[in-house]
Amino acid sequence: MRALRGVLVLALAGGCFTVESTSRVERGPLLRSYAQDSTLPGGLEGKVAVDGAVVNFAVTAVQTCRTEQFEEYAEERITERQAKGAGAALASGIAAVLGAGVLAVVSLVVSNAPDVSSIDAAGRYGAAPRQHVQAAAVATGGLGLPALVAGIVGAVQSGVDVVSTKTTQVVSSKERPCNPAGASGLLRLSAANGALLSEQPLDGGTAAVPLAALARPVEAVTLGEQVVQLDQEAQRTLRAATACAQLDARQTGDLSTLGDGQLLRLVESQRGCAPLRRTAPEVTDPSFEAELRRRQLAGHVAAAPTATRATSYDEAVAATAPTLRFAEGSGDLGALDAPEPLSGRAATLRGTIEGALSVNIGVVQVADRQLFLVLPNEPAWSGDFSVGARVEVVGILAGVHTVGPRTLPVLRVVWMRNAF
Amino acid sequence: MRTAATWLVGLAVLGCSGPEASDAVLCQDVIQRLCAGPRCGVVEERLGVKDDCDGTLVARARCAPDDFVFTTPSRDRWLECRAPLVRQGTLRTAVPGCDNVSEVLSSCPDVEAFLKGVR
Repeated sequence: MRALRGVLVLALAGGCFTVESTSRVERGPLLRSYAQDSTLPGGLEGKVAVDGAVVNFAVTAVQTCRTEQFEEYAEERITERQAKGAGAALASGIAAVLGAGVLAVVSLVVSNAPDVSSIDAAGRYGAAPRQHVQAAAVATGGLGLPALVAGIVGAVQSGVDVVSTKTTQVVSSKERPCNPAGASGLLRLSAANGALLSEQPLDGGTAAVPLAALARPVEAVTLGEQVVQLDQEAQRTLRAATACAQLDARQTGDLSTLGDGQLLRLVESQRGCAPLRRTAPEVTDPSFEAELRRRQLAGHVAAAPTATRATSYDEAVAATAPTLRFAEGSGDLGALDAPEPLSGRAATLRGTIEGALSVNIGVVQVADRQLFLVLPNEPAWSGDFSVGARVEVVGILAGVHTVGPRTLPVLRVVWMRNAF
Repeated sequence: MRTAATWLVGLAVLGCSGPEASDAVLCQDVIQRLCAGPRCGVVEERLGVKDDCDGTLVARARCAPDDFVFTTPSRDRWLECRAPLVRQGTLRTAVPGCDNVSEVLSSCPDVEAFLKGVR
């Protein structure tokens, strides 16, 4: 029972304090650093090349190799527990108990004779000086002992725990395609509506697809369930191949019997195929552009060329395949002396904006020459094209026009940007 | 726990008071307080003392010997009647108020008779 009582007293004393606990983590020195390689599933990469009437696909299965750099540190998790007030209680308890002890010792040398000069209401003499000192000792000890116990319990509860661990941190991670290997399986080319355009087995990672099979734009290239990723160059080549296939599939005959849509698609195919067959007769044949220009002047066909679907200067260059270059010192500038035969041909131009005749017609100065620039109603580009601005233009030559006192060659702008 | 509390209270009480005074000392203490000057008129009037008030009353009460013991009135009764005389202080040289003296003599006829020597 006494032990239990003691425990209860200690528990009560401990309960007087709120033990606050704070933890912090301190990083120690770097123990080691190491690299770890891992291989992850990758994907399929495709290359496209056109060889005459065949489109060659090269499909490579690649994995992703990841190299991670780790650093291992020593780490200390420090937990500090502090019983607030324990220190004060301990100090006051010690002082009081010591004081009580001193008083108890002093009482031994103080007179024990009662104070006979007074008799209280109960008929007792006044207390002896020793009694006074002993009472003071008891009172001091009675106050100090609980404080001392509480302070000791609080001090025991207070403390610092340090747990040392190791921690690892990834400081860098690099991924690269790796382990390329020729893919195998059935290569499928699909159109936008999911229709199958061609299906060829891969042999050593390559497959040859007849150009004629690509008369409709290829929307997806797949191998089994996986999509073959084509880079921009492969996508451009595939678009050009489609344009060439469409051009090859045209019906020969009198152009005047073609509908406007058919004619526009032919012109678009001619321009699109140009990167693959720059000098082929079917690409350089000016009759399509001439017929289109004739209909545009007659108002049958919208003035904006189909190449306005370009989304960048480079894409416009790729789509129109310019064969003329008008710039300071360019030898092609002399051709502007007789611009009519150049109609329909794509050209690049570097010059300075000289003025604006309307919202979509401007005048550009190139060396000692001037041209009209005809802009589409809603150009896909933007920039500062005020008077004096230096510009770089991709466009289609469209004969000669006279506005006011000026008669100048016309360049229908496919893309324009600020430059040089 | 109760034992500890009792021990502490006892120590505290003991720290405030000493041993019991003997009956002779208590008797003489009351007489000393009644006769302390300036003496109240009611003392002379009720107890019939003039000069040597202390000696006369101690002689009547016969409480001069150290072995004197209260019988009638008892020690407790004596202490009860003494209470008004120590209201001004417990020091034996303290002088009680005359109202306190009158209260003692009027409320304790047995004490008055004892001091008159009536048994």
